This record gives sequence, structure tokens and C-alpha cells, in this order.
Amino acid sequence: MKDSILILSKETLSVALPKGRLLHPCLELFQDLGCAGLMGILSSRRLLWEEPEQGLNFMVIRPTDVPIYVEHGAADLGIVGRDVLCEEQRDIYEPMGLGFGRCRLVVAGPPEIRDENLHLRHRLRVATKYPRLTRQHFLKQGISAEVVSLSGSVELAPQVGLADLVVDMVQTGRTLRENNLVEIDEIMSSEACLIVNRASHKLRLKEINHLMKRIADVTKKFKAQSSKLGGGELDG
Amino acid sequence: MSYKGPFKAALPCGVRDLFLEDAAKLSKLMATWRQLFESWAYTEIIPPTYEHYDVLMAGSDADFERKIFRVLDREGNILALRPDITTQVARIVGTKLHGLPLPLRFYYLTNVFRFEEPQAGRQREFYQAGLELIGAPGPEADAELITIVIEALQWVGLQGFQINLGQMAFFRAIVAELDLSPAQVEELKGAIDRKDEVGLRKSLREWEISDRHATALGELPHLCGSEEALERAASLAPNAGACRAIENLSRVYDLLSARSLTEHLVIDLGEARGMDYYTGITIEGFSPGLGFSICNGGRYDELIGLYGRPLPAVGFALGVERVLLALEEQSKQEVDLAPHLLVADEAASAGRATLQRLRHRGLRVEVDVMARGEAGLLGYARVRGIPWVIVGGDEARALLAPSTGPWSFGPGTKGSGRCTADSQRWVNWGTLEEMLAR
Repeated sequence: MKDSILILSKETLSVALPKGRLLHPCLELFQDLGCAGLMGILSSRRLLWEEPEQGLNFMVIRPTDVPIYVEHGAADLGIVGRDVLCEEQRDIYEPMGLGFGRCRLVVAGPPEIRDENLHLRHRLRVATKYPRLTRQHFLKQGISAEVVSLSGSVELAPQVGLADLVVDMVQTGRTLRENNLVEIDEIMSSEACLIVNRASHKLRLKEINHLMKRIADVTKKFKAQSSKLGGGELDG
Repeated sequence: MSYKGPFKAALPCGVRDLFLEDAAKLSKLMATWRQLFESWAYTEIIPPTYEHYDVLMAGSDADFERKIFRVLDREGNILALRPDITTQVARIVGTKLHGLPLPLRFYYLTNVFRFEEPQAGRQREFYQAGLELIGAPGPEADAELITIVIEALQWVGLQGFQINLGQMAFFRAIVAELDLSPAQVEELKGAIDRKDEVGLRKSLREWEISDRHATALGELPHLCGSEEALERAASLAPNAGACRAIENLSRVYDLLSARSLTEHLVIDLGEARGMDYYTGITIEGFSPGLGFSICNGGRYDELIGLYGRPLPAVGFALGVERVLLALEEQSKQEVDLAPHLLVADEAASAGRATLQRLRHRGLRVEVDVMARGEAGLLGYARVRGIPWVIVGGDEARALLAPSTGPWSFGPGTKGSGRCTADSQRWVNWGTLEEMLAR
């Protein structure tokens, strides 16, 4: 893999990568594209990482910040889960799913709530990291749920009386099981997606298309693997 | 240091105060464009800041309606702060301007209001400089508009900008032939807007769209480039309407090519976005280093008909603050606000006629109204960056001093920068005028 991603230009493209469970597969992806030293990010505290030979710059930021950086053009491209994209609703291009980081956004609760008619509850509280999608999901059914917006450990909420239900991502369902929660409904399925700033796409079309083509070639491999394994091994 | 008095400094979200350099830069840009637009024989139109909500909303989609500032007046009427000028021009032309020779050419330089999150380069109140060319249906009108957009950006010194030309009629002609629900059309548009080719092709397969239409729609997100993109689009066009749309765009491109303007142009059929009222070519401008567009426009042949007699029209709007950001990115657009000359009060009376002539020539002449002495005048001039000071004078002569070096300090002044007599000189008012007017 000696040929540079950006042989077409002297200027670098900047890529925003999400911290957390998607980071490792993202780094593997770009390693496969020839960014040899990129795994160094994992043991470094630097927020900006340069791969001058490939003409790429990387920044590692919180997943919910990735669409913001890309919309404003602070990063030309980014990788982030479709769940975050749907929650954030930013004005960006989302040209391709990458086939890794597959998981589902589900409604879950204690087993006894599964057969209950939620419309009959005079009050329903839902804890989540996805307030917009959660509100939308319940309003569509005519339920004005109280959405408790948390930034992590959502599964704790029903156990300590903070909420009746949770809306969260699941991969294997282990976190739900260990916290005595069962899945009630699925809101959406998600995977890692490539996103592109609109102006960058217009102004640097050739370089970005070239990069996207190479990413597509590498991710075919991911897609083949994940369809064999039927999902990832990490839990969300 | 900010003043911590009892006064209230808070601003509501989405507006800002403009003063000094920022205000001057915005005004300078607008003045340049006013001159350009008038040189192309456009005349100014000044619609009101607010109107009846339902009148203003006649041509817009639900998404846009959410961005309108609504106000109730005391009689309970719902009013809207204008979110764009084009709709107002359409109302004025459709309802009032009958019997005038066509085409009509209007320009505007004004503020608009949209209730959205303040973004880079755009608050909730922001400025637009735009044109509307009304009554001309052909590619010549489109080409005129695009030529002026390019000149507007060239006149203010912006480099490396790019104008993407789309054609809404191509998408519309293809979709018109398919039996799709409005929701399905929205889904198609959404996929095209996200450049989500996989999702787009999946929908087309699921809905069993015929091969010719599906191929054309499926390739839309990537129909970008120069002539080759036009040729490809022409070969994909599944019906006469789509063919006409591409022919029209080709004709516009040829006209601009004959004017050697194609270095700024990119054919871009991969957009289904923009105002819902666009029916033909669309224009979107970008500048290197800026993550959002700097101007938008297009042909809207059906909007004026909502208000009266139907008339074809094409227009664009430049985002004034965004162009300023693009210029800033290129370190352009310097403004100098410092006066050229500071004059002591009594000298200003003596040399009144000369100073008036200098002002007529465009020089900024400030008269001291603070009764400053010589040292005070020179100190103030240095801080303000005023190069010349008249510290005294009579009917015949002025005592002129440069406010900046070379400096020789008199004894006992302790580096206070007081000018010694030898760098001052007496000059006739006539000589002074010749010297400064240069």
C-alpha cells in the first residue's frame, strides 16, 4: 500500500474519528489504507495526529462532536455511528455505511413492564443519551414521555428509580441482561458511517472521491466478516 | 476593560452589534456590490422588514416555515420577519408591477431573519446582497446572473472560489414521470442530499422504478464535473423534459464558456436541496477553507404566479457575512478608519475652505473638539493612527506636524514623545492641499 491517498493534492484532508468503541476499527481501517503509525493514537494524549505521507490529519474527539466538526468544516471528513447522526441532525453528506460498529438503538425496561400497555401509565420516564430520537419515538405513538437526558450508564436509571425505561444502544445485549433489563422495542439499527463536509466535497471532489473509493475497497472486507460473524463482540 | 455598571449588556441569541472595522467592512462590501449591480442596470428594491405570515409563506415548505420569526401584532395578526427577499419580490411583482416593460431587474442589500442555531458565518439576523431578473425565461438570463455572481466575488478580491451549477428541472422531470407519493419524493431528495448512493439505490429497487429512471436517479449524487458531466447527464436523461433540462444547462455553460468564466464553474446535478421554489438552474458558491456555501440562487418560474400573473424569474443572494469570512480567510478586505488629518479648532476655522475641498476629495479630516494643546493633539493622533496634525494656523498658513517620527525629544520631556519645533513647519494652505490630496 505505498500509493498515497492524496497524490492529487499537496493540502491535507482532516478526518475526525470518534473516541470509544468505534475508534479501534477506524484506526484499523486507515492502517489498511497505509497510515502505518496510526495505532500510536491509542497510547498518546495528542489530540491531533498527522500522517503527512498519506496527506491526512486525524483528530480524535467525542462521537457526538464528530458531526459538529464536520458540519463546520473543522474536519473535512469524519466517521461516526448512524445513531449519532440521526440524533444530531447536521447538514452534512453521509455517502456510505462502513459495515462495522453494527448495533441497535432499543427501548428496554424491567421484565414486568414488557406486557404493560404504556398508554395507561399517567407518567412514563425514559432515561437516554438520545433525547431527540427518544422523544420522537414515543410521540409517534402518542405518548408524552418524560425524557431524562443522561451522558452515560443509562442502564442504572430504572434500578434506582430515576426512570421507568431506557433507550440505548445494544450490541450483544449483555449490559441489558446484567442489569436485569429486557428489550421492548427497536428504534433503529446503526453502523459506522463516513460523513463529509459539503463545501469540502464540492471543492476537493477528486481527492475525496479517491479516498472514498479506497475506503470502500477496504470496508468490503469488514462487511464480509461481519455478515459471517453476525455482529460485533463488544457490548455497547 | 468592560464597564461593570448597572446597565444591561445582554443580547438575545442570534444578533450582534457591528461597529468600527466590522461595520466598515460590511458597508464597504455592500457599497462595492451596489456599484456593480447598478452598472448592470439593476435598480434597488426595499421591501418591508415584516409582512403577513400567510402571504410570505405562500411558496415555502414545512422545513422552512419552522425557521420563521413570528410576531403577533396588537390586533392578533400573525406577522413574519422576512426570512428571504425573493418571496417578497415575487409578491411585489405579482401583485403590483403590471404593465411594465420586461425584464425587470432588481437588487437588494439588506438584513433577513431566520430562527435557526447561530452558525459559523450566520446569526439569526444576517445580511444578503442579491439580484432578481424577472420576465426572461431563457439561458441568457441565467448566464447574466451567474456572470454577475462571479464578478461580485472578483470585485471584492476573493480568490479560488467555485460556483456549482445544478439543474432542478432534471430531477423534477424524472420524478414527474414516476408514480411516487410526496413522502417517497422526500425520501429520494433526502438520500440525494446526503449523497447516500446505497440508500438511494435500495429505495429505487424496492419501489421497482424502471431501469432508465433508476439509473439516472442513482447516478445523480455523483454527476459532478465539467462538460463530461453534462454529456453523461444527457445520455442518462430518460425523457424529453430531462433532456430539455440538460440542454438548458449546457446552453448556460456555453454562454459562460464564451465569456471565459468556466474556471470558476462546476456542473453539479447531485443536489436536490435548496428552496422548494427552484424550478431550473441552481447556483451555490464555495470558497476554500470555508465549510459552508457563500451564495445561493436559482431559477424560480412558478413563485410569482402564486401572487398574480405568472412570470419566469432567476435570482441569487450572497451571504454578506460569509463572504467577509472567506475574505478574512485570505487576509483580504482591510479597512482604514483613521482620519488623514487632525486639525486644532482655531486652525480649522482659519483654513475652513481648504479643509472643505480636502473633504470633497474624500479625505477624512477630524477637527479637535476637546480643546487639546499641541502635545495633546500629537499624542491623540498617534494613538488613532492619524498621520498629519495641524497644531495651529492663521488665514494664510498652517503649522503642520507629522504625528509619527523621526522623533527628537526635548529636554525634560522624559520620552513623552513631544515633537520638537524642527519637525513642524509652516505651510501655505494651498501647498497643504496639494500635498495631502496626493
